[in-house]
Amino acid sequence: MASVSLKNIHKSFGKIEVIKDVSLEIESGEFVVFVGPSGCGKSTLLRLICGLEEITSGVLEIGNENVTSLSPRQRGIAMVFQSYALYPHMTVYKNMAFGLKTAGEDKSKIDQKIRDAAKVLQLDQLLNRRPAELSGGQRQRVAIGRAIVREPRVFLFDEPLSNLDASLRIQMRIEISRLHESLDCTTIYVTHDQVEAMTLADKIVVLSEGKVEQVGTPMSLYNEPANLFVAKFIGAPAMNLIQAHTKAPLEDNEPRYINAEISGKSVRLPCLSYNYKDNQNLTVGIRPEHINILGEDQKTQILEEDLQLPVVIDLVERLGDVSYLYIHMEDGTPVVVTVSGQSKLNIDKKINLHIPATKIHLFNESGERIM
Amino acid sequence: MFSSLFNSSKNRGNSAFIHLFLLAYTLLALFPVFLIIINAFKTRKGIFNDPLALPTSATFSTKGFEKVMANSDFFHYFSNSLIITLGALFFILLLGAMIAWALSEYKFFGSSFMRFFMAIGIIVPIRLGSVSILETIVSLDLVNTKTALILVYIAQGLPMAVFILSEFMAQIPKELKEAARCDDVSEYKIFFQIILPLTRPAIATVAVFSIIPIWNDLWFPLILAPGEEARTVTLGVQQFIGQYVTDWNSVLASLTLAVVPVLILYMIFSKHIIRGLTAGAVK
Amino acid sequence: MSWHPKIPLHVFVFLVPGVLIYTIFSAWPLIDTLLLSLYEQDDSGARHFVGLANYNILLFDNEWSNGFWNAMWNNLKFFVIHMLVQNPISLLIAALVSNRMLKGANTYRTLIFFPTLLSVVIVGFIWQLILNPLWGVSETLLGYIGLDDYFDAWLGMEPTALITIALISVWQFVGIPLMLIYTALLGIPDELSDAAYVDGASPRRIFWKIKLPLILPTLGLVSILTFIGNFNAFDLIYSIKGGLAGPNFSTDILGTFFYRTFFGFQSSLGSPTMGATVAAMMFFVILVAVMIYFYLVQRKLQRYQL
Repeated sequence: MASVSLKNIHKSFGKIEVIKDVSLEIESGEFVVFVGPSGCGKSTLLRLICGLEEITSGVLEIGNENVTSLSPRQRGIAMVFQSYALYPHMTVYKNMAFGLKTAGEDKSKIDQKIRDAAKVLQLDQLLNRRPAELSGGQRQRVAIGRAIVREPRVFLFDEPLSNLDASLRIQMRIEISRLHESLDCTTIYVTHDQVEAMTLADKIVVLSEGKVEQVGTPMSLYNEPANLFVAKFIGAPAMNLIQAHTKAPLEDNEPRYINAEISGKSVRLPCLSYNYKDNQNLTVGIRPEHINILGEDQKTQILEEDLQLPVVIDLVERLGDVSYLYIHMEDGTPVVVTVSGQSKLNIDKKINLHIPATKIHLFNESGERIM
Repeated sequence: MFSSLFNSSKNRGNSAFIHLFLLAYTLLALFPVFLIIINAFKTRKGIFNDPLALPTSATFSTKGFEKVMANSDFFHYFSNSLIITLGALFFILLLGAMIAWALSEYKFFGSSFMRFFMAIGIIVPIRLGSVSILETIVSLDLVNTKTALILVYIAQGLPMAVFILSEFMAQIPKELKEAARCDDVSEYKIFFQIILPLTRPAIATVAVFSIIPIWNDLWFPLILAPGEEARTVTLGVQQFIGQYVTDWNSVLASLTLAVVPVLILYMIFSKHIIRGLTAGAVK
Repeated sequence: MSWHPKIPLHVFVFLVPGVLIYTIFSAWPLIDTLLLSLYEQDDSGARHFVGLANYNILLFDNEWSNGFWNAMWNNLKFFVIHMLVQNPISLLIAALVSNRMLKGANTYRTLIFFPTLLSVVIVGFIWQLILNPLWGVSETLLGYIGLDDYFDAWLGMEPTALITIALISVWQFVGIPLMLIYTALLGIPDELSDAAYVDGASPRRIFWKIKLPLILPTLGLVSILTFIGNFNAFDLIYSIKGGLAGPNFSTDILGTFFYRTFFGFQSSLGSPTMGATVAAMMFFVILVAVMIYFYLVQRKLQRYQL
């Protein structure tokens, strides 16, 4: 168990810079998830921490010890690979023993460790099988077992569930979560799946184009996305983003509001502190589940600054527990609204959208969140 | 991967050692050919006094080439080899693809026997049947003809072609053929207009595998077509050098003439050839 | 696949032209050669069935058997030299150039493969010139590393001629196993070596413990291909040493022995039936090797799903 600290990490392949000045503190015992679209550099960052790729510049510390130029073994890490990377010619037992044997550990000690890990992972009956004779979930567990027996200071997972089918993925997700509870070992987990990120992480690191976009707990990322990228990335269906532009502040304007125009309609957007000029672009974000349909829900309270938009439903997707309404605004901006699964709303129906001002996220021209 | 192998100072020495070894071996692979070519452009004196030197104005001579041109029909041999190789290649690819398609697509009575029958030709060298092949060629009155060599080389090349192509064709998605069959396209059209174009990458591999042994073969030209008329470059060089063993200029020149076309073609096509070889070897 | 009770016409059309040529010029001649080995040809050219008499002569009659066993023995040595020199070198080079971090790996591979493309005849002559004491190139070159005293006319001397020719053949054909092994090594997923590296294994240990076991089937294939190629070799020895495979038959292998038996050489007349018998023996030797290969490699050696 150890903390991990990344200080101004850069990585270039030839002239292409794939990791751009990443700094990050991971506390001992924390479960951290790196998430981002493919090509954002999350796997590369993991391989840099692992020691499979050389860090171009910057310092990596594990347990307050500079490990930048040490080998994976010396760093005390273990990694679970996306394809599991089980040695096909070795039995489950030998797969788990390989790393320990390499380190020259005592035979009986190795045996004890493997039996212990096998018990935890329910692999006891499978120790003499070869990887080809195992199911996907079993292979996954062997890959984890191979990491556990090494007793690493940090566990690394590289998209470990992406090769499993949906139901198995949920099951393994829970197992990994439980495992982390019981081992209490620092874990770094890479995924492109935001559900995995939200459910597993103590702390999520959102990456895009080699840079850290935001670091925080799952709920803080959901509630307060720092920028448009995170806003779009976290949450499904994604946050609705509506273009707006500011209008000249009125003399008597209260400082808590921004005057703006959306689709030709004047609105007042609540805002704590933002100095703005005339005709600046803004993005208004609203999550699909925060939009109300007027007349549908009796309890809706409409405040003065809330937005109301008359629209027509383009399409309805019924998932059972909820339904998604696909709508477009007058200027063509698509909007998705989540409503109850029992809703009777249908295609072509004219409705009034109610967007509560308190649920709005505001982003400035460069995509940063406005408080 | 293994970036660390080349990172730390200890391993940098390791990597230098690897380069040194590979460089040395590459030199060993190329130097003999280089030596022959530079000496082919020297006078006899130049060849013997300082074999390792490049030709200078004092030692430059093309006497060997002149003699080879005068005393042998090099271009005739060359065109023979070209016709035989390309002719055989064309039929290996066409007939091989047809058999491969028949074996990979249709199940019929005797299809597994047929597969085994073709596989024999991959394992057993065709040379072992030479006694009987010669008798057949004699009875067909084809001795000393290019046709004889083309026919034998087709028979030699087909099994490997069928093997590689049928492996490849088996991977073509079923839907493609079924879509065509739904449109009532004939089996011939399916083969020539859908399958054959899709098989192109594998055909390239087969071409590489087929051309080299045919172009370089000495055995069949020697026993089936030793006469002047259908003599190939390989046999021609062999016999020419046999006659002029002591004439170093001529020997070096004729070797150079045989090597240089291969060298140039390899310089142009090495990427394709290597890719073809490795693609085929995956199977 | 679609099942048809009879062979449909189009299948027939696809099969017939190729299969016909293959049968007439490859499959049937092989069978015919095996049959012919059971006959004897008299001076008038008529053939009589003699059972296994030809084999008896070839294997036990001193006039023939000395030559045959000499060729067989030499061929075996020829093969062993390839196994001991060619294939380990190929393995080493393939292991080195399959490292993606190695700069210029493709160039090395392309250049080292080049001699494979040359005609064996050309290669034979090239080395004959280079090793010729008259020219003295080899001696000069060996002089650079202080070994010129060891130089000799290796190709002309009984104890060294066969080894020298075998090494020339190795020089030429290193590229083929190199390509096969290289491709097999590339087929091993990177994640496997990464995993072993994370497990703390050194590159050397990764090679021996992870990669080598996974490419054993390829090494088996390389061995059998080497065997078939060697027991079928002819061109190199014929072009360097002629049909007599001198000095004193010390470089005679089955291919050259077959050629002499079939066509005759200098004063001795060729015999198609004895030639067929030699070819049949070569066939049986290869067959046994192939059977061993299939038994050992295909049955005993497990192929691992990568």
